[in-house]
Formats: sequence, C-alpha cells, structure tokens
Amino acid sequence: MDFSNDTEKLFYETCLKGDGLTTQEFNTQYPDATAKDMALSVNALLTKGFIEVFQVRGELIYKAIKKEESGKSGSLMGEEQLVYNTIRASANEGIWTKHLKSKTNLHEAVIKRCLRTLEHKAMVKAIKSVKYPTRKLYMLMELTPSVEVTGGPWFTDQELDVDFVEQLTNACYKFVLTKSFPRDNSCIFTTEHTAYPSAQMVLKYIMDKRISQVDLSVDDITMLLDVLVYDGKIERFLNVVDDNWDDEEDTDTDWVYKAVRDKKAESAWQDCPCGVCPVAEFCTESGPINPAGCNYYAKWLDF
Amino acid sequence: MSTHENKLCRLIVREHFGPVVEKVANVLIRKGRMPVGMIARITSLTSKRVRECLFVMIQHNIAVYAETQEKTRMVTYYEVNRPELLNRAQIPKVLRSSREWYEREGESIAQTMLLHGKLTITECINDIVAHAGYDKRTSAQRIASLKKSFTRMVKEKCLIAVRPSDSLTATDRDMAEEKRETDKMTLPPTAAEMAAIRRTLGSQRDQELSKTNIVGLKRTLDSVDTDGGDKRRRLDFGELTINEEVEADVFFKINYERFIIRWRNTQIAELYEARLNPTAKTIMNTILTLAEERMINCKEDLSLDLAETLEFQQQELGINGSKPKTGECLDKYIEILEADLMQILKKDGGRTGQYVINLKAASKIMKKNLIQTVISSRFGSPYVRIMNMLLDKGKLEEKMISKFSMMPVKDVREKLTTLCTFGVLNLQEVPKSQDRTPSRTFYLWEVILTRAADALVDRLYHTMGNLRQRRFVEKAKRAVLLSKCERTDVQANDSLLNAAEKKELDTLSGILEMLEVQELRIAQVVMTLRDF
Repeated sequence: MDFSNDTEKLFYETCLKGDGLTTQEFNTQYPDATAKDMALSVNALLTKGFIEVFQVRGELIYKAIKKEESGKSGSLMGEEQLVYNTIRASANEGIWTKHLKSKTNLHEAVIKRCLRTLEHKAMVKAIKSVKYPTRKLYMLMELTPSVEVTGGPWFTDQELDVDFVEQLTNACYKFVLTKSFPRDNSCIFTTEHTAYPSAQMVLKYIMDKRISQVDLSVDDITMLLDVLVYDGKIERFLNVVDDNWDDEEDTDTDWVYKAVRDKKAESAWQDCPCGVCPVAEFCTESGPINPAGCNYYAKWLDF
Repeated sequence: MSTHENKLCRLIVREHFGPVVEKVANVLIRKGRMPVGMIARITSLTSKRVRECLFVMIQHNIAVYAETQEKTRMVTYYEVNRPELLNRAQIPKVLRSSREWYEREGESIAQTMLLHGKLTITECINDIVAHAGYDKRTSAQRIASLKKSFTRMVKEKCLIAVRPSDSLTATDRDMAEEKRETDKMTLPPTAAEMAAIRRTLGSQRDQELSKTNIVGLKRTLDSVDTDGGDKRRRLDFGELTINEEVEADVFFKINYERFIIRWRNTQIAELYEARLNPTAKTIMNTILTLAEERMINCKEDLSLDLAETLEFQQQELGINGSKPKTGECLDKYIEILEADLMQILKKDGGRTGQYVINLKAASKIMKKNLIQTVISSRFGSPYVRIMNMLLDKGKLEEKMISKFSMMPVKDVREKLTTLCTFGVLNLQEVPKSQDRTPSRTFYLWEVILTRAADALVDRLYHTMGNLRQRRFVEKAKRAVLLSKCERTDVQANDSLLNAAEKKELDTLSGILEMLEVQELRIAQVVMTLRDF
C-alpha cells in the first residue's frame, strides 16, 4: 500500500486496530495532526478505497479495509467502486438491481454501465434466486450463493429436481423398511426393540452408499423422511430413552422411523364405473346421462 | 338429505315394498312430515291406500308418527325413519352375520324377522316351522333350538324389543318429555332452567340405555325349592342357575345398531392384522368381544374398563407358540398392542391392570384410511401426501404445502383445487387489510375429516342409487323371460326353456350378482364413514 504522507498512514493504521474510528478519537490520540491534514488524508484514503465511511447517529465513522480486500475495489473508480462495495456488503445473499439502485442513489443507466464493466472484469456475477425467479441478483465472483438463494440441494437450475427427490425418498424408504421388521415376515418386534433408524442413520447410509452426489445435511434427510410420513409409508415416533438420559442432548436425534406394512390399497368404490366416472356430476336418474343407458356400465357388465 | 340420498331411499322402498308404497315414501322423503290427507292429495291415491302404505312402513319400522292437537282435533303426522331405511341396504350382510354368529337357526330367525318387520317369539318360530314343513318330532326339536337361538339373540341385543315409544320420532319423544317438565312450573322457564332440564333428561336417557337388564327377557331361577338359604352363595356354587326366557307377548325387531357395533369391532381388529400380524388381530378381537356387551352405540368415545381376564388357546398364538409360555407371550402381545402408534388400546390411568379402548380414535383412523385409499386410487399418492400433511399440521398456505411436500408450487396448486372440488379440502381466507384484495390475502387450506367423510358419503349414495337403478333396468329388459320363468309349469320342468333363454338367464344372474355385491361393498364403506 502506498501512502502519500505520514498522516495518511497513521490514520489507516489506527483505523485498522479498532472497530471504527471517528476524527475526534483520532484527534485525542494524536493531538498534533491538524484538521486540514486530517481532512486531506481521509479524502485521499477514501479515493484509494483504503477506508470506508459510515454514518452512525450523525457521526462519521471510518473503517479500514484490509489490504487484500481493497485490492480490487482500489482499482475501481467512483461509481463503480460504490456499486462494487454495495454488492460486496450483500455477501452471499446477493443483491437485486432495484435494491442496488435505492442503496446507491445512482441512476439506473449508470448502475447498468457499472455492472457491465464489473462483469467484464470478472469481479461480480449474476445469479437467479429460487424465491424470486424473476429477479436478477448480483454477488461477488468468488462467493458461492447461500442456501436461501439456491434453495438447497433439492434445486437444480432454480427448479425443484423432482426425480432426484423421488430417487432419494425411495432409497430412504428401502433403508427404513429393512430395519423395521424381523427377517421372518410373519414375526414382529417386541416393545423392547429400539434399533429403529433415526434421520442421522439414514443420512449415514445415503452417504456411505453414495446414492447422492450432493452433500446433504440431517435437516435435508428429515425433510425427505417427513414426506414419507405424509405418504403413509413410514411412521415417526420418539424412541424409548434410557433412565440416565440428560436433556442437554439435542432432541432432534430422538425421533426414529419405522415402516408401515404395505396396505392393500383397494377401494370398493373405484371397482365400479361410478367411482371413476368423469361425468358423474351430470348423472341423474332420468337425464341425458343416466345409469340405465350408461356405456361404462355396459362395458363393465359385459362378460 | 341430498338428492342422491333421497333417490337411494326411494329405490330401497321400491325394491322392498313395491311402487305404491314408493309413491307415499317419496312424498314423505322429499317433503318431510305430513298427515294422511295431504299425502293422499299429493300422490292422488285414495286415503285408504295411503293408510295401508303407512301401515306397511310402520310395521317395518321405517315410518314414525307424531300426534299433535290442532284446535279441537288430533292430527297425526307421518315421517320416514331415514337411518332405519338406509340400514336396509345392509340386509344381506345382516343375514350372513346372523348365520355366522347363530348358525342356521339365527339366519332363519333374522330372515323371518326382516320379512315381517316385528314379531313375537312364538309367531316367529311358528312361521319358520310352518314354512319348513317338518313332521311332528323333528319340528319339536327345531322349535327348541330356535327358541334357544332367539333367546341368545335377544340377550346379545341383536334383536331388540319394540316399545310403543319406538314409533314416535326421537325428537318428538324428547320434546314431550321436556313439555312434561316445564308444565310443572308456574312461570315459563329461563334458559338456565331449560338447560338443566335437558341435562337431567339426557342423563336419564343415558342411564336407561346403559341398564343391564334387557326389555323382554325374564330371568328366573331354575329350581323352585323353598328351603331358603343364601341364594347368592348357591348361585356361585352352581347349584342354582339363572334361566332366561323371552317373554311371549313382546314384539322384537332386528337391532341394526348391534350388528354395526360388531362389524366395527371386527374392522378395528383387522387394522391390527394389517399393521402387525394375524395373532394381534385374534387378541384384539377377543378384547373387543369382552367389551362389546356394554357398548351402547357406535358414537361412544371410549369403551368401559376391561379387566385383564383373557384366556387363549396355545395354538392361537402363532405357529411356534410352544417355545415361550402362553401367558408370557400374551403379556408381550398386549404390550405391543398398547405401544402401537394407533393408540387405540390404552391402560386406564386410574386403576391398574385395566385397559380401555379408544373407540373415537379407532373410528377416526378407519375413516382416514378409507378416504386415503379412495383418494390414492382415484388421484394418486401425491394427493394423499397433501391430505395427510394438512391433517397433521392444520391450516397451511400453498407455499408451505409445496415446501413440506417437496413438490413444485404449480403442481401443488393444481392438486389443491382438484381435492377442493372433490370435497376433501376447505379453503379459509385471511385478509391482511380491510379491502380484502386477493393479492393481500392469505389462503389457508385444511382438511376437516367429518366434512370430507360427509362429502364422500353423498357420492357413494349416488353410486349405490345408480347400481340399484341399473339392477331394475337389467331386470326390466328381460321382463318377458322372467315372467315365463315364474310360470308354474316352467318351474316344474325347466326343459320348457330353450338354450338361448337359459344362457340369457345365466347372464342376468351374473349381472345381478355383480351389481348387488358392488352395492353391498359400497354400503360397507358408507357404514364406516357414517356410522362408526
């Protein structure tokens, strides 16, 4: 870093130590620096992009930017720098162009121009959010978008990957099923049996078998298992805990899962034409559509 | 009281009692209670015929009446007893079950009872014997065994005594009782007093229902020696036995409610078979049979306490029951049943060693399972997922549903509307601002199980009506052939029918069987949704 005079250097280094610095604080530490010197050096530092300025309760607070961070923004000028810094402040959440406009108070055309140059220099990138599919978000090139933006492991190209989800759910179900019943199909476990799998065990199985290429967390697996519970394929319950259980442990792991025996899903109603009739709403005793002349019935009763 | 239900009621009356009674029943079903004169005017039948029709309907317990004073004269209003009428759709099942539970005698008793509506024991038995045409000795034996079965059916409440109050409507009966109470007062009753009266009357009624002695059953001691002594002690030692006898002058009718309770109990046991294994079902069945005697109707929340007095045969407890002792095995099984997530069998909190059956939970599970299978076979499993989630979580917004069910929002939206039109889902609007603009409103979806069941029952009534109508149509198509079959000379000698006619008869019986079986299956579904 090159400083044009000592005051600049001094100011920067003092800034670096603290968590924000006002001119008054600097003045009390170094009473011999004149107001004019200080103003000039602060200006110079700001243009070089070595420090940032914030306004807190009417007071101006200066904050040093670390050497490695300032490298890129230091090479930018004026508006571009402002845009870059605002984008950087949004971290891995990204920032929408409209919000960028209101934060920087710049004209839309100016922002567009800045973004174009920044993109050209490969300093920022545009991404799309799952939450707001129509919005174009900007974030620094080197960052990976947060889960909020990408939607987690279940999304590819901003869309829910239904096939992937289904495949994993089936794998989970198969695993839970093998752990739920004894080998002999006519037997059942007694109440003392506690080896039912938890979400953590399912995750371990999925990762060990390399069923998923994506890194998954326990929460992700819990989501899948919840879906299975709603499908009526498995059940969730609290495992019997031993007496010396201390409640400091996280409670999530206490939920265990057990498969439900396959029910024969046959419904008496669907076995006759009325149960699947597309025109049942219009069917009356003696109307144009009626059971007496019904073609579905004729087909059903033809043997 | 939808049009579908009305149609079904009407068709049942047509099949069982013929077109003239149907006419009268139709008016009562559609327009509510009315006196004879009015019915005669609407149906344009003579009032004598109307009276005859009403007589038939009252005899078969499907009509009730109420008398009121209008100025100087008494007017009698007639009304259809809907639940009893709809229960007639279950008649084939009633017959089958009475055969299962009370053998051949039970079936003939049930059949005769249904044929005549209400009968005394002697009338019923005489009717059966007269139709069978036995010689004297065998008929004496038959009478004895029929008497025994009849007594058993009365004792187990499958037959119930008919009292004069049964031909009044339930609401009329309640109102008359209330009026009697309020007439005692000098001033008109306040709301609080009225509520108190209703409460006491209600508890009286409950007591009446839970009474252990059965109307129409006499209990006598077997031996009539007069040496006194402690009767109770001698009863315990088995020197004396209580002899129960059906009173000869009391009329009885089929008690559908008791049949339905038993069917429900078997269904509860079957839940355990699907989840656990056949042995669990056997045990549950025994437990429910023990509790059954004291069940009054299907809408109770909990069964009464059950002491642990189960005894099982060794071989009932599975194939390799020889290794652990029966008692241990049973203890384990009951533990498993109790720990099951359906939570139907529970230990009674207060006393030790007693179990209660949570009937309300059981009926809810059965209804839920049924609606689920209908939804899954009609629409597919993603729809079931949404339904279950809403049952579990209560009211949810579209976005949340999509997130929890891991389906894209646009798919979820489509599924929600489908389910809503089917009648399973309800929509609740919560506006954020006063102007109620759609964009500033939360739309919350939820499943109300009872309402979903009602919606489904209505559709099922429609289907049952259709099946019944089709049956009439199929018969009417072959009316000439059928009337030929009924000729006495054809019945005596079936060579008078040619090959084509015989083939046609076969097809007809096949079609009728298909339609009847299907209607019965649906009636069973309706029973689960409506009566349990």
